[in-house]
Amino acid sequence: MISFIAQRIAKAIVVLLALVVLNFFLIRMAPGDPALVMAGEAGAGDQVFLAQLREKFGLDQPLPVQLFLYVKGILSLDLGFSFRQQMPVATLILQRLPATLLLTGTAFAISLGFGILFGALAARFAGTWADTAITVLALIFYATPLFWVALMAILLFSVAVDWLPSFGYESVGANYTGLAHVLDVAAHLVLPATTIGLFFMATYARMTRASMLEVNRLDFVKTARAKGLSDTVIQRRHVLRNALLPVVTLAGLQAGTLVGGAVLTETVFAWPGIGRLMYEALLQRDYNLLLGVFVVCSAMVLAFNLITDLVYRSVDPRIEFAS
Amino acid sequence: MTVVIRNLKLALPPGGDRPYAVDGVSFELSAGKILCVVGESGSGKSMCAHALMGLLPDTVRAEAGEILFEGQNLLSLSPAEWLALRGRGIAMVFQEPMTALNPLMRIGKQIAEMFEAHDLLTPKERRQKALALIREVGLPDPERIVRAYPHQLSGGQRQRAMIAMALALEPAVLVADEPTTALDVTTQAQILKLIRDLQRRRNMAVMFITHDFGVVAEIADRVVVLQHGKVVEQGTADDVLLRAQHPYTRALLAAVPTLQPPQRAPLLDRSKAVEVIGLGKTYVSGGGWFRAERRVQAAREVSFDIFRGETLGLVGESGSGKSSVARLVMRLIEPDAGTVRSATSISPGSRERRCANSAAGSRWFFRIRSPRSIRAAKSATSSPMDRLRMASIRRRRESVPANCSAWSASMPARWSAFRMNSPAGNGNASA
Amino acid sequence: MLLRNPGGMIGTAILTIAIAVALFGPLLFPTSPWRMVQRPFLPPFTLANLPLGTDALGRDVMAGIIYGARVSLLVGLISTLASLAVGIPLGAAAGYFGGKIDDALMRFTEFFQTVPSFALAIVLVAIMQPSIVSIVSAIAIVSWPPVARLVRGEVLSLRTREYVQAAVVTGQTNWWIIWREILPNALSPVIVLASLMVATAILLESSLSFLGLGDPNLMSWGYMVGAGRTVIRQAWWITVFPGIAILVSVLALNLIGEGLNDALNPRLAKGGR
Repeated sequence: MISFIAQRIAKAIVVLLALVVLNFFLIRMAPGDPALVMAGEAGAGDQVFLAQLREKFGLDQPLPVQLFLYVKGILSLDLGFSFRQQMPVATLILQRLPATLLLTGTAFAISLGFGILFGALAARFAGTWADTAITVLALIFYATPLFWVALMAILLFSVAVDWLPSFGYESVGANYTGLAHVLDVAAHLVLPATTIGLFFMATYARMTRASMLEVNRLDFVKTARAKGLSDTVIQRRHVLRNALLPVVTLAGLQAGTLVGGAVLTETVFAWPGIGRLMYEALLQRDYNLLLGVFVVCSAMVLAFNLITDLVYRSVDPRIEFAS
Repeated sequence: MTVVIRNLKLALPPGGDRPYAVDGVSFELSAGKILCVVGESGSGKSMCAHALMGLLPDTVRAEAGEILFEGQNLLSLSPAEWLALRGRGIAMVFQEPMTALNPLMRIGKQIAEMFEAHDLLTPKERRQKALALIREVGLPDPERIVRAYPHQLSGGQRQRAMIAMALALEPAVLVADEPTTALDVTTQAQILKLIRDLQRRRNMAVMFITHDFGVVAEIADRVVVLQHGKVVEQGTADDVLLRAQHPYTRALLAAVPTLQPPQRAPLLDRSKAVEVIGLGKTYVSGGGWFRAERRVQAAREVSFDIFRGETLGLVGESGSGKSSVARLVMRLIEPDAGTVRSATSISPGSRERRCANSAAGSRWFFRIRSPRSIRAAKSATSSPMDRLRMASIRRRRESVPANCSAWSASMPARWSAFRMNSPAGNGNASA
Repeated sequence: MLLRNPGGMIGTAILTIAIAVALFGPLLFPTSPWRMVQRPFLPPFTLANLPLGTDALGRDVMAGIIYGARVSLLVGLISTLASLAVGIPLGAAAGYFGGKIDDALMRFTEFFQTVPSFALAIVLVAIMQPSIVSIVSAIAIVSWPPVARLVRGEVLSLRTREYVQAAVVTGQTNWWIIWREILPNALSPVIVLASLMVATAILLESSLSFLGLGDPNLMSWGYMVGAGRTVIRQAWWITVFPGIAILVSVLALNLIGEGLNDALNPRLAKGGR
């Protein structure tokens, strides 16, 4: 198993390196002087800064040298400097990363938990009105753009009725500590996490429903019935476990979309995570920051993929770690 | 009489090719005797088995008749009563051991579940009984098997495990729905022997569904022959096999391939069409920087000749390499060792090979069906029974080489139906 | 065939309306949606000729939705076609030839799949400067991997079928086999995927426009939602109606995709265990 993890990490590093190289060429692809691009809109006016950039990245040197310097910088975890924010990109990202992890983690848990629950219910009561209701709702939520759901959530729960906060991570100026602080953050977390959660809930519910109906048709379910096991036990012990395997795979594949959803949600709710950071970078045309966030997002996705893969392999005994 | 089935009528949903899956069927199961229910696909034999367990699909209704077991009519049982009966009074073994076991559960646990379903014994006792059952069905290394997952066992071993499961609660009746159809010939013989021994030892009544008269000859005490849901013949094994009355039974018996080849005209042309010398092929899979590769030797030093105008039969069980050898001869895959020489001498350039191949012309008729044509055939016959039949016809044809229980090198009646007029006398390599 | 599928029928009906709106709407509403026609923040259902009200700059919301239909549908369609044009040949080559070609192509595809697609789209459009061309390209670039994967899978499974081997044996060239024997049978899942991809493309385009990365010359639904975001408390209709338009279009395409899936991949009849 260790060699398996090592192998996967090695692969992930290769992907990240390829990404870094891709970033390098993307900066060069943007119109104009690469130094201006890297400096961003704000830094473009400062000649000293531009000169520093030129020297650091060897922008007057041949391309392979530039590439080498850039990759070397990345490897020493130097993702560049954001002139507008007057901070190294890496610092900015590290500051904001925990908030995003909190948001995406919660959203993932909500979506998986409720998604499987509703999917199993829909499969159990297949053909009845409950099933139709769940299926239709799932279809609608699956088709709704995330940013619009976010706005509607604000409209409903913040504007129409003032139940939940719609802005930021914690109440500004309140300076809560301890439990009060946790509750405050939790209150702020509800709307954003549920917004993201709804979309994925729809996906997992539909997958679970389809999977359970499919597994119910398989032969070993008939064997279980031939043993005289009650239907509840069969669904819980035999069907559910087998039916959840594709859901786990699906969850792994959703990692990228989850991160993308975080960008939109954090923007609407002003949640101080790296998604919001990306939006700020967009507004300021701060390409260094933008690409830095991009690399980190990709790293998150890779880590998530590795974890889901491990989970899948530990749950399904048919897959050996060697293969 | 342990089980009496009297005038059973199982109605199919409207739109089927006939109104009844099973139409007025009557037979009996006795303790200590094996009854074989024989028929082709779609004869309703499987439905009888499922009716005996209360596992009929929702769309099939029992319209008339009764199934009497221990003083009760099983057709009138409530769901709760069925739960108590299944596994305890009547147990079932299914056809596909590959899919009939939960892939995520250990074998021991699945056997112990039998006891659990009926609230019997403590967990420790269940595990011990599971071990004992595994031993009884002849599985080697029971400690390992108990902890193993289904995919780690071979087909025959899985079927033994299924049988162990079925016997756990010492049922009076065992229903076996084609349990050996999916197995190799040698494994099949072992399982049949196992069932017969267990049945004798426990004095069970066994209902054995099959379409294979070879199996019937092996183990049946009594035989029931079904056609289109009706019983056409019934009696002791000797009566049915040796003194069959009904023309359908006689036709089925006549269709069984024998090991005695009929007379053929001698081949005059002794020139060789195809020469195979020392063919070898090893499949290598997997293999990367961190894992070992897996080698499977499909063919080793295979040599034979095919003479002009001759049909060569290539016999072997699954995994013997016959399909690989056939593909090697047709140059669909390249051998690692050895050569294949044809009457038209070819060098391995692909263009010339293609032309030579088309001249040689492999005739795999029963498989050359694009899904489109099958789909067209499916839409023409809309009934589920027909679709089932089509699927089973496909399966039967494809399985003919695999189930080589009695494969004769000359089957003139069948071959002439399939063979196209090939250009002057090139040999056919059939797999 | 489609008649048996109510979802598919609804989807087709909605899509037809959407296409009609996109094609003929501008004829009925000739004034550009960028023009200011009334006072700002006119609520909906107050004036007969401005049924959906006006936005922060006095522009007609209804006109915006009609002109936005064009952009969304066009972007969805073209980017999907581009994705197919890239993904199908790559997948077919990988599946058919196998070996090193397959390995290399799959590494390439995997790379694009592990990168978060929306983030990559943002980066690409930002770098290329927002325009309809850059949006379509960006969406196409992030959307082709699933196509390649699907086609590769289909080709792999079809390649070992006996009728393909029969074709090889009877002397057909590789490309003929791929074109005539394999691809037609691989087509139905691709069609299903394509309709779902158009839906995703519309979502992507509207999300990009929402973030301000849309083509500045084209009125798109995402842009309208984004523009109305800051005034949501005063004028809810600016964000609600375009959002509904997006929802309905994407839903229609999803329904069509699933209807096609049911029709093209028949299963055994429902009911009965």
